[in-house]
Amino acid sequence: MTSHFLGRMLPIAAIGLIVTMVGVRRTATAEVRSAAAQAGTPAVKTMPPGTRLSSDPGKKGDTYYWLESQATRSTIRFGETLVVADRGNDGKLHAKITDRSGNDHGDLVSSSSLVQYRAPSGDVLLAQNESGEPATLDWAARQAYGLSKDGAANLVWDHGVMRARHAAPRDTDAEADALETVWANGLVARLEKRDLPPQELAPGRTVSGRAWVTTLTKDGVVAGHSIWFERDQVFAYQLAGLTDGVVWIGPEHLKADYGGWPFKPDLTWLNLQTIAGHHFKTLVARQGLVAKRCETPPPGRLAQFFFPTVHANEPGCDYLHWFDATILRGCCDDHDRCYAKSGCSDKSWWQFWKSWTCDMCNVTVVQCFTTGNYSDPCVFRYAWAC
Amino acid sequence: MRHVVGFIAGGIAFAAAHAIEASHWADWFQGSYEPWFLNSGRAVLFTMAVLTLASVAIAALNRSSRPVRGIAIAGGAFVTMTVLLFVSPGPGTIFPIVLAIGGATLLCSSVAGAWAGAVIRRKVGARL
Repeated sequence: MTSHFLGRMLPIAAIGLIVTMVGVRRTATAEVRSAAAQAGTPAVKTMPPGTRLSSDPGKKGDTYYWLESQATRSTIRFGETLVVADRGNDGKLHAKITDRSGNDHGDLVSSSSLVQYRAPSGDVLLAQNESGEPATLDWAARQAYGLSKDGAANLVWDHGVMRARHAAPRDTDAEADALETVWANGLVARLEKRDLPPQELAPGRTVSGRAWVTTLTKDGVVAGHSIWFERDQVFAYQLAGLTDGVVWIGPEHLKADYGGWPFKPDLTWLNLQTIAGHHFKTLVARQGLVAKRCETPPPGRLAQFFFPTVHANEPGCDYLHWFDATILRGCCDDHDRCYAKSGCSDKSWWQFWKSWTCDMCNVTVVQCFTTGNYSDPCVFRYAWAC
Repeated sequence: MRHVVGFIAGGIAFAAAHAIEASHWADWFQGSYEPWFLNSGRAVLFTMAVLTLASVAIAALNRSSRPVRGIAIAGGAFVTMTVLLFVSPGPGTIFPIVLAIGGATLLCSSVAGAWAGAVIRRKVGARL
């Protein structure tokens, strides 16, 4: 019996051992060669496996930039000036400045390494792109506008934007009157500024004054609206067939966790947020995973839904990162937040008697994985409070 | 005994696949996170391929009159996977889900491989 066992095992073990040794040895050799070749170059800073990557909640993250990269055109109107930024087939960003009559006022072409600006006079500026941030359509449009207004002489980098040294930093959000973002899948978000009379969002909660109003269309048909009240710092939205009534979020909902809005909303964020809401909710609803009609989600859940689009640098599914690009990513992010807030750890799975809140986090993530139902506010609504 | 052999072989196959993935994580598997087969699509395919091939080999080389069960091979691979998951940096916040998905992946590969190996063995045996 023993000899039969050994007879069967030995070939298998030998094959496994040889394959492993060949693989490991090739790597070791390559590492030695690489180290010799690259002596004197800076070493890569590594982190221990499992290190959590946290980011500033106010900083735009991967999801934001992914959403932005799907935009094909951004048109900003500053009074009489129109700036149209396009994403070229070559990966470069092109921004063209005109007035309302269509007269040329210069243009800008930007790649990850270079920025070329042509002034209305025909003078061309070529500069290294040292903005330090991923190039976006919004950046190209605002950069082109700034250069056309302040000139391209004696430039300095100021928070990722080139400006003339003598010129004051521009608040382009304040100067802009309208913004149109053309996205993939026939989605177009058009934002304009309006002064609105007092309106009651909820009993005792009134908003008014200068507001940014975005209208979302899908293939030319109105698909939703969103609004940001500058003074009241309130964001509200409604998506046809995807939300039940108006959903809103104000600083009072964010005070406990963030002390208020953790970032300063800008025009592009409002458009992208509206697009993201429609895109992700449609994606989930199309797969039949979401109950389409239910009450308005509680504010705590709402905050969890919105913030990922601006600070999605957190790791997704631990040891399941293959799923990070799928709809299940939301399950993991929600679970991580739930754990962080309730002080849970991996031990919470078997030490279930220690915290009911942690248990609810776990039950919710299992339910989420089994149904893909991460953004359904109707299911396990109490768990979102954890 | 054949199930014990399958169990041990499954464990070895998974360990070998993991060792290769860890050593070529950045270049072959383009992994961004820690080396773990469920962190990269290529690594998932590679592990499944290794386990399938191991199962085919074990089932085809089986000298017993009764077939080797794929579940025995998957069981060995699952135990190795669990040990590796817990031993290296820690199990992670959703480890039961990781184990369930990983286990299902390993089971599919092993069962498919064992079935294919049994078919090969039958056909070869019939010719001999």
